[in-house]
Amino acid sequence: MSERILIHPVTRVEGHAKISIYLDDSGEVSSAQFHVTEFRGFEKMCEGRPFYEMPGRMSRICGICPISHILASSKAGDMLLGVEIPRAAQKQRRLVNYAQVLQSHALSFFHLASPDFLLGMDVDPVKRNLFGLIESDRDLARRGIRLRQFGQRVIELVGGRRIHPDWGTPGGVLRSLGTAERDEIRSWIPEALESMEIALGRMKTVLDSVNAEVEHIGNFPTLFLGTVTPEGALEYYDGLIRIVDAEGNIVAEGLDPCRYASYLAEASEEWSYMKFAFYKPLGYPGGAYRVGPLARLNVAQSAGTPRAERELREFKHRGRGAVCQSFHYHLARLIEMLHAIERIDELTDDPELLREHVRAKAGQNRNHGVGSCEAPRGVLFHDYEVDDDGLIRKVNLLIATGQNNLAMNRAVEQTARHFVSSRSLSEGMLNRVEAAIRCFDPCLSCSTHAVGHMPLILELRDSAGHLLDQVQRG
Amino acid sequence: MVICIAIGNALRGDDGVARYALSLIPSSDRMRLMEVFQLTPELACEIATADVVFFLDADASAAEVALAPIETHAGNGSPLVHSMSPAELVAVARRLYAFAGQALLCRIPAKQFGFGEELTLEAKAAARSAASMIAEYAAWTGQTPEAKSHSNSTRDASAG
Repeated sequence: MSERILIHPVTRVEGHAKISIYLDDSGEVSSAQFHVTEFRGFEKMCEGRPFYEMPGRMSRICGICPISHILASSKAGDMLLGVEIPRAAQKQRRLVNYAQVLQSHALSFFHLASPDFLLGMDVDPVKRNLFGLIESDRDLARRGIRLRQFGQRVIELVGGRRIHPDWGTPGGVLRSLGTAERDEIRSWIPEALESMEIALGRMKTVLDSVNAEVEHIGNFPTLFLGTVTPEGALEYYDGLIRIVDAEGNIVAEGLDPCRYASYLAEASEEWSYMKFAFYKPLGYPGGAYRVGPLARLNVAQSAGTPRAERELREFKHRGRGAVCQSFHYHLARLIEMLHAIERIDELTDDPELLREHVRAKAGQNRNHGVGSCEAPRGVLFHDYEVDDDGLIRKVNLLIATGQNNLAMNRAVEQTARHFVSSRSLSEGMLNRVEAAIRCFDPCLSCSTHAVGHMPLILELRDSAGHLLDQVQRG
Repeated sequence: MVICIAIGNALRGDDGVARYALSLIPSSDRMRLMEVFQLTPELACEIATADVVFFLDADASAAEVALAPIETHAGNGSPLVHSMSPAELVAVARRLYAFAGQALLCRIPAKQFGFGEELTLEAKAAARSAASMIAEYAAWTGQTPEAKSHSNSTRDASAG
């Protein structure tokens, strides 16, 4: 008789989740599923509201990456107005997006993921957390908090507040940036760059000691999708979509993000509220692709900033073609943080950033608008249909975590096959299955448009559905 | 320095009661008032130099306003998610930044958490009570030891 293991809810990810592991008659893992059991229906709530309210409304989806939703929503609004926004506004938007990548990745790496590999996967969970990290490496923990604080401070200085800033709007942004604020941002940069060099050095040393995890936690071929400049460099705010395969071959490039629905689609499964995005030409589930830090570094030919360029070249040697090990999402996150700080340095050195003209005003000129940007977890699409009075008729949000859903499920299954080998759950195997998900740093409250704190349950079941073991965290 | 941190979402009914209470606390040079949706790690270094930190939060299980010291706990086996509890935040501040001040949690009774900015009458009354309790406590902590001793004896005398 085959069996099933259940993990419910996943800790150190944002949202509610359950992992089911099924055993076959011989006690081997036959399959695994990562269920997201919460539903919010945010898209539905927006119907009937004026489109110019959307940036503020959409930012409420998430307390961690509200900037991404503000940006994608504002860009959809720009398209509805039919305007090109002032250059200072575009630079502000870019600046804040880099700040968000920095603060979100800092939270993911230093506080959620790093205890696993800096302290060890088999360390007692009582110690394998931020407090354990503080005991083990006080300086690194402190630097992690400072990096997060820097990102949040940039958002506060530009946007007016750290979470859900009232700042982005169709046509630009609502306020210009002052010299004092710009100078304060610049004062943080030397320390931030130093912290990133230290963290990267530490991470690369640690990778040698977690080889089994690198090779068996989410290491499989998929497509990778991300935004690049017309020249193929890293891009987070406004570019073209490129897709590469596991060998690093370009499958598609120069794709217009506004036409995402022509090449991407979503499937549903009855056991999860989170949809499963796929690349249309390869169908479902063959068109599985990954987005986010790993994908962005795989699709980009260059970084465009000197320190990140050096790291990107070294990073690409970790794969044959594309880097397929999901564990390297963590290293990719650090490289992106370094890149973000370099870009913040460049942007705040540009006098155009301080110009006072930050908003283009116009009436509604279109009934359909799509906005996209690279959120910390991957590319984000906001798609609005509005009536002639500017009221929302339909909203579709394609969220990064949903686009990684097929890959997350595959990562859980692969990890379970390698590390789960009995009718009960040990702490070490449980944590490795969870770690497979944490590679992607999913924001389940975004992807299901859900609210609140999400715990994780891991279940082990036989083929008849009988529960063999269960562990709950959070 | 006294820091008051109100936690909650003003768009979810009584969940915004802490923010309302914060608005009723008289500001002063030694008082810093902050509103947050959730507690995040970087707040640890912001509270590190405070003499007293008050966390104000809506609590559906509270029958009356309660002000109590926060029992810090670290490494309790509950891994960190994107937000932290007051106890975890204070523990990080103590361990990482040598925070040596007092930390207190003010639980404010709350009833309904539906969509909307309106507070129930009960929550508003509780917010007023919480604000005066915090203001009084903060004023007391700002006194010199001699003044504290005097106000204590005055309190004892009036109680007697």
